[in-house]
Amino acid sequence: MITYLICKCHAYESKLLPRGMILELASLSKLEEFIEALSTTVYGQSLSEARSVWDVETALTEIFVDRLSTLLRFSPENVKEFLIQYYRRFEVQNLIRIMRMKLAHEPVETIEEIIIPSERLGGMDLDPFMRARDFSEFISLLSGTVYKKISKMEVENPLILENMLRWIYYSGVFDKISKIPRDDRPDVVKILGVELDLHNLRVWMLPVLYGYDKRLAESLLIDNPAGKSKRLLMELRSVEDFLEEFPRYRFFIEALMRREEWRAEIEYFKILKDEVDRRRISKYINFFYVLKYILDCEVEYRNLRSIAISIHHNLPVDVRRGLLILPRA
Amino acid sequence: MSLTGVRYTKGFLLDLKRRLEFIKDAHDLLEMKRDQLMIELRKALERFKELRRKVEDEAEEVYRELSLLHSTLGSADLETYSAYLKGRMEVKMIPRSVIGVVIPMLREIHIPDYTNLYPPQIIPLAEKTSTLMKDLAKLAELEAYIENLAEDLRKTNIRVNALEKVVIPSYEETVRRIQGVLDDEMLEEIIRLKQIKEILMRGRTA
Repeated sequence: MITYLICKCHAYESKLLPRGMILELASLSKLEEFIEALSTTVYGQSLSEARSVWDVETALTEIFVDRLSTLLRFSPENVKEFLIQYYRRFEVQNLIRIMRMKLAHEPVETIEEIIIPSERLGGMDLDPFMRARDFSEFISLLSGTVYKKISKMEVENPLILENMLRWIYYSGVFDKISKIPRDDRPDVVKILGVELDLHNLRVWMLPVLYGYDKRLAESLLIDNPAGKSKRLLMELRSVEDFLEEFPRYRFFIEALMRREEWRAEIEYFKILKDEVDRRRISKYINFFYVLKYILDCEVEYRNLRSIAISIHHNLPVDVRRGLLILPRA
Repeated sequence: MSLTGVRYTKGFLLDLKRRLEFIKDAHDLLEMKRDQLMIELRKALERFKELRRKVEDEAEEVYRELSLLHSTLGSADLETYSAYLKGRMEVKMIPRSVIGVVIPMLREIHIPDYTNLYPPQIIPLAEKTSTLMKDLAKLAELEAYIENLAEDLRKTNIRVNALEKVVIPSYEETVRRIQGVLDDEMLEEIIRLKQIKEILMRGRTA
């Protein structure tokens, strides 16, 4: 029953860390203090063994994946099908990481360390990909998967391959929209549309900001059935055009213009969070709330990871707080 | 220090004076070189100070950018970004001579191109790191230049001091000594001649 899944999400949501605690964690000065402060939360047990920032990152990833995989257990078959496809974004992330590491001729052990356990989210077994002898074998292994189109492509630039993986992912998610309740479809599509809009915007600004080849940027754009079309985007030439066409993404565009990619990354999630939170009340007992919970989990995961790493780098407290994905006041 | 093989002859004295003149010219030249080296060194140190400050600022900025990017993207993604880079940074150097001092000079710095290759997230960091690497190479070049200049200045200084404090005084001393001996000999000769003349005069009057 989908209602049971939604109720579960409401219950699980109460275990997410409150805003005040996140801000408090961001003001700590040592990693040990950070681990200690989290000891009474759901993170306590996993973090108890953590000694370095890398250990903290691994523990946080484990809990994040645990939270997401738990939802699959309570999902009805059709929703589960959608969620598995939605979770494939982590599989794509893994494939991109493996692809990069294969190009750099990194050993399997190094690759294993940076992989998100996406198998637990219903994804395919990535072991053969990690063990592929080289990049060519990695590409040929894709022929037996949903990403088979890539194995037939003869492309030199790996950015295009990365984008192809994302394109296949989003096509798959849009295909599976029919598996979720009818009422929720427009909202879920809207959120996916925002994600793609932001992706395309970032890509289309590459020639303006960094002198990338326009044709390359064009090939990196992903069709967005729920947002601005590729054709419309390609007509935008200047920053003013971008701002006029996407007024709600102002902070994101401004961060890109200032070449603050790290800030753009934060703004990306802030925009998504704002979009989801706006529908929070009206979609209180809908499947959409599950999506909201998934995004909240990811935001918390990113916030905690960001705090741990910024403590490790000894960044000032105000800078650390600026790195958090918190809803705009 | 005294010279060996000194002969108290007029010919040797003339030769010694000629050599002393030559040494004094060499000393003047070395002194000029030392002054020029000092000027060059001072200028280079000024440039070094400026460039070092610039490199420090750039390094700080790169580290800041890296920390911020690391914090927002996480370790795993950051680690994989560099994989697309083709080639390595290469620096070509040639030796150059400045006032006789051989110094290494940067002829070419090749930074691998990342345009059209890197995901957007990493480009600003790549740009800043490239600038830093170029300036670091320039700083290393300048550092080597200063080291070589300072070493040559030290050697020149030793030579100037040796000439000024040891060689020239000892030559002058030797010249003075030979001159003294030759003067004594000449005086002796004059007195001897006077005495002979007196004896001859006395013999004639007797």
